[in-house]
Amino acid sequence: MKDIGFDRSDANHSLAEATFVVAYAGDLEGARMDKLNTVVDELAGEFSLRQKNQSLNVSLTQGKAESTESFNGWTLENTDPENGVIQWRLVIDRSRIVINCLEYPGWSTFKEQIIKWLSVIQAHLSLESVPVNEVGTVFTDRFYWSLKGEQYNLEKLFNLDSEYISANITSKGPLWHLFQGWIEIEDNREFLQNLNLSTQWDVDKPHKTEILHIIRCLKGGDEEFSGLNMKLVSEALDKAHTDNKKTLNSLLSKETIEFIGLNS
Amino acid sequence: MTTATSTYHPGLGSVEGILSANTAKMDVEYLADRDLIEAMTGSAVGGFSSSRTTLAIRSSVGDQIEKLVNLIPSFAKDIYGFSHRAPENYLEAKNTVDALKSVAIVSSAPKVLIFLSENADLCDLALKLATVTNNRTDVDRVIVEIEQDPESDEHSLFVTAVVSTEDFTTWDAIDEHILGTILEPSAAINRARVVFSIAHAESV
Repeated sequence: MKDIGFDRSDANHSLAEATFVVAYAGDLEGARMDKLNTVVDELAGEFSLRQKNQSLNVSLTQGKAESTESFNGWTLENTDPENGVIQWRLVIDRSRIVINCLEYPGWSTFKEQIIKWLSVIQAHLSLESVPVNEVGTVFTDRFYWSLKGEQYNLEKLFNLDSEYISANITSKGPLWHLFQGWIEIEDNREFLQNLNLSTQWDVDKPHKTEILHIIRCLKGGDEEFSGLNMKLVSEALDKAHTDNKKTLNSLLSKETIEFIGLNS
Repeated sequence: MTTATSTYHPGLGSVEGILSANTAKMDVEYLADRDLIEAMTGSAVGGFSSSRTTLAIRSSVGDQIEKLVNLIPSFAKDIYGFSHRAPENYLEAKNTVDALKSVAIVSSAPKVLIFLSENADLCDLALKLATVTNNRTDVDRVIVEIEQDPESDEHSLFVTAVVSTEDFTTWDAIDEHILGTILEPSAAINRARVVFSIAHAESV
């Protein structure tokens, strides 16, 4: 790809971030919020930085605004001891768990870590009895393209015959976006998929293409959402991985697929 | 420039859009005026619209997604803010380093990342400086690196234009162009944290 204009050195994938989110149906209260501290203590060896989160509550009463702050969980960060780069960020708060991977280590490690940390959290907070609203996985791929001395060419990055590419954008120049979403039913589970493709470009900056792929499980089978269900989590993760790979294989040009080592 | 935020962000649309987008994104409880707002907008406040939609927003997961695509308002950034290093600043720095790699050789990328995450207001300047330098036909390549001042221990981000000519007229032209169009207009923001230099290819 370097020969034709991309210059993303030392890339072996284009995944800038991968995130997994569990959203509870309601807020955690009382004892469970208190137990968050024991979760943080148990995970202390794996996360070098920890920060208490505060939530800001604003009340509006007859034109008067009052605000109060309250404890809303923890944010933990796992950093590379050699250089301080943040590899993982884990947010556990009143309404959700967010596991954000900033230095993608490959699928098996990514999934393994999520299952491991969720299991620790579940054990401490007894989340198997806390109703869940949804679980979702977010993949963010970004490509930066130095357009020095050459014209933007959509075909270099994307497969123009892909079902995810609209014919309209193929002749519209370097700035465009294409957002789409659809529902899928699989094994009695309902999934909402969003595929948001967008570009950004200023003349004095590299051209940026972002592929945001979100796979959310909104409804489960029997009782699957009555509490945090690790089987559902595992299978939802696998589906997200499979679907993301399949989508990128359709969406990207052959050259790009090889460049990022998508199937290697 | 982007086409995405202006059409995607529902907050730029109707009053209903603004309210539903904001309530979906922030842990803010509207107490007494909830009924009034709901009556005005026809949408649930403090929760999510009951309408089924395939849009990415309007959910707790959507909230996280909004943060990832940098659409979250600064007010909410404060709520989620870190005292030592704001997550949004770190993400911006990370994206900047990735973007820098497309126009420059980034020497010790982790160092540059940490520096920019702690000086996130310089991300835009660093990227512009490296890109504009790289766009010049008389510059062979651009190197971005962090240097430490031995006396003050302060760190700076150096953007070096590597040239192969020994013609100092060319050097002066590059210097004048970069200083005049990028660095001087940003001097108040920069405060000498980003430094531009020119080096001969044989000396690098």
